[in-house]
Order: sequence, then C-alpha cells, then structure tokens
Amino acid sequence: MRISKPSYRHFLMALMFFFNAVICFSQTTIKNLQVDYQTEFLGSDDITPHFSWQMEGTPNNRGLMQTAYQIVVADEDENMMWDSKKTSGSVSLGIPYEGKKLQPTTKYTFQITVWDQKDAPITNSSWFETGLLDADPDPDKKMMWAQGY
Amino acid sequence: MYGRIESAWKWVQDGWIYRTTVPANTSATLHLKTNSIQNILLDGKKLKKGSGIQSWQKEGDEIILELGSGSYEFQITK
Repeated sequence: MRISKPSYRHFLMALMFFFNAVICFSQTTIKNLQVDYQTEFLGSDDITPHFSWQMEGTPNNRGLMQTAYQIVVADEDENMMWDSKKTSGSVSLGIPYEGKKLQPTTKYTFQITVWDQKDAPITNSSWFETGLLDADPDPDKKMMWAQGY
Repeated sequence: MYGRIESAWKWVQDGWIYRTTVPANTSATLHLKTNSIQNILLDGKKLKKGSGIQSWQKEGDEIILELGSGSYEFQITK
C-alpha cells in the first residue's frame, strides 16, 4: 500500500472526527424547564414563582451530577429581573424567585445554566407569563351578585 | 422528579443479569444478594470505583453499591 501525503480528503476526515467528538461530548441537556411545575406557564398568578428543571445525559455518561446552577429572568424588553448568580448545589426543584416585583400580564424569559461535576456549563431557556396577579376577584369593588326581584 | 428510573433483571444459567438506569443528578443504592464482590461484573469487568460506582460495602449476605447516574448492566454469578 502506498502512503500518500496528507491531502484535502485527510483533512476533511480529521475535521469530521473532530465534530463527531464535539457532538459526543455535548449531549448533556437541561429539559423540562418549568415554572410552578408547568411548562411555558401562561397566566401565572404567583408573585413568587418556583423554577424546576431536569438534567439529562447519555446513558453511558455515568455519575452526571449538577454542582451549581444559575437562573436569570428578564422581561420582554430584556430588562434583568433576577440573576441568582452561580449557586452551588444539586437542587433542581422548586427554587423560589427572588428578583424584582413581577408585573401583571407580562411575559418573562428565564435561562437556566447548570454546571456538571466537571464544571462544564449546560444552558437552556424557556418563558412564563404572569396573569392579573391579584388574588381579589373584585379589585374594583364593582361586581355584584346576579340577582332578580 | 429528576427523571426516569429503570430496573430489570433476568435469570441466566449461572446467576442473573441486573440492568438499571439512574437519572442524571441522582444517586441510587443497589442491594445485590450475593456474598462476594468477586461475583459481580460490570460491563464484563470486575467492579472498580469511579465511572459511576461511588462505593460498595458488604452487609450480611448482600453487597450494597452506591451508584451515580447512568445505565448499568451487572452480571452476578451464584
């Protein structure tokens, strides 16, 4: 067999191996991003929403653990509402919102970043939208019982 | 919920095969009824720490393993 000089084809093959390796190593994902245990919650009346997510890796990736997380919430105009900063811990359920006061009927996006046991970040984002945010069914005191005489 | 947990076993001629999947960001304690660590193979090899196996101990007639996330296939010989 004749050994040829490195060619364009070899370069292309090396590049393919490289991308394959990159894809193999980046299959950890953050899924089921939820607010108050609902995906893309429209009409949330909770002024302290709770965030949850799940980490998922390939089955052969053993010992995959979350070591830290960060939650960033922004409104439609990309104004920062809350940045939890990088927080140590493996918790990924029911983390309460601790940012600026949420406004009614407003769509907020939230981005979750999780760091694994090798301190590699994985990120994903979703949204929720607030409802009227008023527990009083009659805020204007104008409602009356339907009645007849 | 941190994800789906799977558990399955199958009897074979000289013992049994136990398969499990532990979701990410979760650990599991697995009790195998066998009296020696030598009777357990993972991926056809002797058990070793790391790669998901955090620790093990013998207690009575059981071997107790602490598993990190991922899929495992153990072969246990009687």
